[in-house]
Amino acid sequence: MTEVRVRATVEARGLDVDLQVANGETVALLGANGAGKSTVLSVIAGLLTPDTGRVELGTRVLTDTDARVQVPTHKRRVGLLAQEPALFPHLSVRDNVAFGPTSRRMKDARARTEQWLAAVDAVHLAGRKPGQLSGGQQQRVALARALAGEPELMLLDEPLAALDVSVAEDLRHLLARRLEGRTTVIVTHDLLDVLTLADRVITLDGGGVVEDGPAHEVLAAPRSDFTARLAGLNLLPGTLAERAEGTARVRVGPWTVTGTDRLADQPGVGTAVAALIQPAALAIHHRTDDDPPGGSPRNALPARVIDLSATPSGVRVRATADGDAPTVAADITAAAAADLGLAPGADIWLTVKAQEVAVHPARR
Amino acid sequence: MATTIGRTGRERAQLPGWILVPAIIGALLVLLPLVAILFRVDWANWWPLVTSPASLDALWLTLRTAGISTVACILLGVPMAIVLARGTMPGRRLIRSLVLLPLVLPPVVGGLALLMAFGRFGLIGQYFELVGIRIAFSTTAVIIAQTFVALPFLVVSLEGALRTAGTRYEVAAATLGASPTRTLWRVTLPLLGPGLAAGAVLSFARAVGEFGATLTFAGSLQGRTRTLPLEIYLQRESDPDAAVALALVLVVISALVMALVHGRTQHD
Repeated sequence: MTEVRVRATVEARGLDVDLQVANGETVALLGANGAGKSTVLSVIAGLLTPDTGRVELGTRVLTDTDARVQVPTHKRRVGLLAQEPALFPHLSVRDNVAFGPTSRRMKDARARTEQWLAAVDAVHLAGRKPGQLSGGQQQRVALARALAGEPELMLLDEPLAALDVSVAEDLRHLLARRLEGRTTVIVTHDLLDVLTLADRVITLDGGGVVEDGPAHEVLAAPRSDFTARLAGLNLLPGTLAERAEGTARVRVGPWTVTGTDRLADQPGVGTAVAALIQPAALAIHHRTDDDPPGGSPRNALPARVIDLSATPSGVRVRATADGDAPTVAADITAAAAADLGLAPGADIWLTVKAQEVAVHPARR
Repeated sequence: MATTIGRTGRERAQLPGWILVPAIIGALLVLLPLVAILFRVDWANWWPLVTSPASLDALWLTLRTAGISTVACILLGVPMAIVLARGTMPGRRLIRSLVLLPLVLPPVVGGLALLMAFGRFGLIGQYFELVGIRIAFSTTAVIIAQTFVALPFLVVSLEGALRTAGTRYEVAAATLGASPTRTLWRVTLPLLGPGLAAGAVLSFARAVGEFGATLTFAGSLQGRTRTLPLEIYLQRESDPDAAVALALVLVVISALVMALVHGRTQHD
């Protein structure tokens, strides 16, 4: 069953899209600035009437330009969490969270409010005014406020873009927990958001859909420039093998990769995770036998060169291995590439310090 | 010349020194006449002059009518400001300019216009006359004249506040399921509070000082239409001391209003 179906053209913004989101699915809407992502959200939320188009949510028609239907925003049951929390400054945190349930005249508004305050760990902030909260706290409360009214669809417009990296990471884990199983569209520029939150990726370019597929497939083999740039990092999908003292070991096909533990609290051994490595952090050595090269890096992955290409700063080497290994890109200087005499098919070791590998939760 | 160091520990813009000269002349132009009033006040007889029956009538009438017209300004001006700031109807800019015209219109012209509309033979006034209601030259006319001149002040300041605030809170409220009416009462108006208070105080001040439109449209009948500014103008001929004494009262009221508005905006 298709939960959300959007077909819309907005001439003034050069938008012409046709996309769907399945029930319970989280779709990441990617694209460069001006690609039309936020316009799509505005159309779904009813803040913008498309020139032509139709928006359906479940069995309800929210917009139908042919039939001149435009359900007002407040009757759509579509929640929105934007980059700015936009908490009502004159209301306490508790009254902010209660705003949705009371607006929708829910019988259990009071209980719901307390439940959602607890769900985002904001019970101790309930009596404060938004102005007394940090940016991260405000956004947590804004999430509770948006979800407390039980929207049938959640729209997130770069919800973490305005936050510090560490605060964003906490909130990302919270989003992953609270949006689990909810139909969600998230606009983002962040690879980690896609990795942690999205089941599927839709990329917009020039106002139209240019890419649509499962998140890990799109990130592993991006077809649009935008996703390629976004996925400029090596993304090694795998399963968690071991966690200890801030490091995590991940089984990635034939390899075992050790990295910094950036997981949330819950995941145990065997859950889906991904190791992220900057191409420039990888070093390449000749491989003549099974003895890994010495030195400090804890990761030494046996691999075989696929191809080499010139980059502005040197040479990009793409390599893989038998047994379901992903393709990995390593950036080395032109001089190093010449010294090593690399050619497609050459046997190499890829080495990287555990410190340069970040292990994040991933969705399958 | 040695450079003097101003307040330290604070970033500030560099100003050319000569700009102080016209700035000080301007400030003196505003302040000197007010100080002059203080010198000219007949302090010994100030209290009796201010509490004479004619003065008290004028003072009481002024506060009453200005209060009522301020309420009228709020009841009419808040919806006007919201429609102008948030509405999407065609010709909004033209409507806005026309509605705000009294800001720049000479009050005498405004009074004449009001007479043409609500006077005995006016556009609408003639029909009121038929049912025995006479607006012109009544206390009601004073209130209408004051509202006419003060309303744009409230609308302009509120519209500015609404535009600065933007629509994000209203958008948030709508996505949370709040109807436009609920959003207005629970979000827009509470957030407008400080701006509304400042706008209302300014409107009140403008209503208290209204002269030209009142005189033209409402006349000068003691206790019914002769407000404080009219009384001062009248007394200036017959009893200058009384005029100055009452003028001081208006200066004090204006100063209080200014303090009130400034005190508020500083806090926000």
